[in-house]
Amino acid sequence: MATSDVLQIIFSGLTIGSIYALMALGFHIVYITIKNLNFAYGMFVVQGGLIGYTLVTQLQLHFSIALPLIVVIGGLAGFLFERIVVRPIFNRPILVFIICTLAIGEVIENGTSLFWGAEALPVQVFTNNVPLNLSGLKIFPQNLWIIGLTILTVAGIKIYFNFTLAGKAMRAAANNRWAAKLCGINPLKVSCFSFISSLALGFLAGMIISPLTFAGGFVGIHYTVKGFTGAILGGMASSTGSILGGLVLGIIEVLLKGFVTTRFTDGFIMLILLLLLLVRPEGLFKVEGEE
Amino acid sequence: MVNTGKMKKWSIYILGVALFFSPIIYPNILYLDIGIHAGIYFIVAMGLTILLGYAGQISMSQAAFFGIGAYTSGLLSSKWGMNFWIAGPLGVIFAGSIGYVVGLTSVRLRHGYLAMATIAFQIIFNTLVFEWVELTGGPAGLGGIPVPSLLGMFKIDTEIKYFYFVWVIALVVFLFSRNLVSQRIGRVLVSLRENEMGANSIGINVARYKLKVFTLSAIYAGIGGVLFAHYSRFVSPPSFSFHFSFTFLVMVIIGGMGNIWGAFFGSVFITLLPELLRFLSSFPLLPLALRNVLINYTYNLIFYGLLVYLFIVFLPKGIHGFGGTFLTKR
Repeated sequence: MATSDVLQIIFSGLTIGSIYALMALGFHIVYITIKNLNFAYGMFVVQGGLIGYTLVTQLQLHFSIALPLIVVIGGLAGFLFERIVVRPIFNRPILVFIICTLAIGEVIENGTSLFWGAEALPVQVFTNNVPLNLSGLKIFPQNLWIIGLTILTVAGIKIYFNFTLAGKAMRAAANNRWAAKLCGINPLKVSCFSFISSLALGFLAGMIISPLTFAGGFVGIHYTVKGFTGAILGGMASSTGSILGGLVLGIIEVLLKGFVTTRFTDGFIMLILLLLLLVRPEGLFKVEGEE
Repeated sequence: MVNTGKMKKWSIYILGVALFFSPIIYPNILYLDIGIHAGIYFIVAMGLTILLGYAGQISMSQAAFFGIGAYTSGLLSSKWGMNFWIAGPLGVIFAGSIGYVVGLTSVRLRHGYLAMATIAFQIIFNTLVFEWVELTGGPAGLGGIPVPSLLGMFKIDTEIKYFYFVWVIALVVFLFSRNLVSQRIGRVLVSLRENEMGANSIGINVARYKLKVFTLSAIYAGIGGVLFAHYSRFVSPPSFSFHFSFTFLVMVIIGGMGNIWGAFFGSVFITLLPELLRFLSSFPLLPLALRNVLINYTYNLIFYGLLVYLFIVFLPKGIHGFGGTFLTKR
């Protein structure tokens, strides 16, 4: 096997991995602030792809307009989701939150099939589809867009959490909810902000991947579990960990498809998740001082 | 107020007897079909009620165990010509043993992580039945599953016979479950739900009981799956998807998690719901778009999801909690 083949695999792994990294980050943000998992997340990612399809393919918007628009729509969806779904069950047991997000996920997935149909839809790429040729390495512009946008988004999220007041407040609340409350940080506001940023990330991820994977088609729960696998692989409690976990998961997936089997890839990834959960649920990058 | 308790007890017996004999008095294929499905789902929902309502463990892979029972029994009896009374129990045992293996995760994981692990198993199962075409027939499904027969002579080949076959088994499972949860083990399971650490501190082997109850729920799902395979005589992957696992959760929550009776109300209600929605769609006042949604049963999951959410927020005790109590409490 030539070096270019290895590079090719790593490159396409990183492309898929970028999406998992964004999703893992979305899981991480909700997990640290309200200590729970949003099972409707994958359905929202698919939703992002479908809205992206409407914006880019149906309305023929330029992607420089469509991209900020999808982030805004995602944020709005996060706000509504937090207000309508999460707020009434905010202080109920953990199991209630799990069941409710599963239920709302089903509502969203089947509700969207009312508008976009049950079939997966082809989405056009952002710029042209001619691969660049770098000494035997084929690079499609869409893959570059995905990786580039992911780097930008991750940088933005890092700046938000480390240098802005709202981001610092969220981290404080994640660290110690009661102490943060004593300092005047409203846990409801924190939950609201975490859902807004999480779903904005999810919608963006869904939209930028859709030219490669098609949009829609009842795969929401697969996205949920894969995003979660990325987060678990790196460590749910650390943002860097979940991003790296997502990237590693992408490379693992491409390797499985390339060398083991294309038929049972999803099954193998789920097996990896089960083993991870059994052997090392805190992830490869354990955060010190976590409860 | 003297004899209310006795009256309620008798009213439920009379209702039960009336329901039990209604197919003979009014044999309608559609209602019999609904009744058979309700009975099969009742068995699976009882397992999930014990798991979720009593022990507080979540499982989103009941459809996978259901499918393991269905495929095992279906394969053994159609491809290798085994008798139903050997293939069926083997399917149940296989579902139970896979449930034991998956249940090992429930020993170490809780809540969200356990839900994710069971969803992961559900996806593994779906990938297997979909892609392992040589064994399962893949997306085309598996046909030619024979009907069960008693002693090789009396074939259970009509809807009415199958109705009684399913409900007799459901009744046996129901009595077993009711005895189970009203004994020591039932109280142990509730202690797992309420306070795991506390249960551990008074000498309850938490891990063992978690594993036991998870396996039990998988066995129930396996029984349901075997009955399903030999009733529809054809199995294919879409019948055992994640959405179907979710449907079992819907049954348990809408019926009411705190009591075995909840499984009965939930499974009957959810099996009747498509008919109810179809009935609602005939109202001429509704806008046409909504009527089309109501009549098309592929969109039923929207209503299931909304119902679950509304029940959890407003009526966490389920149908059993507000309507069914007068029927079942003595």
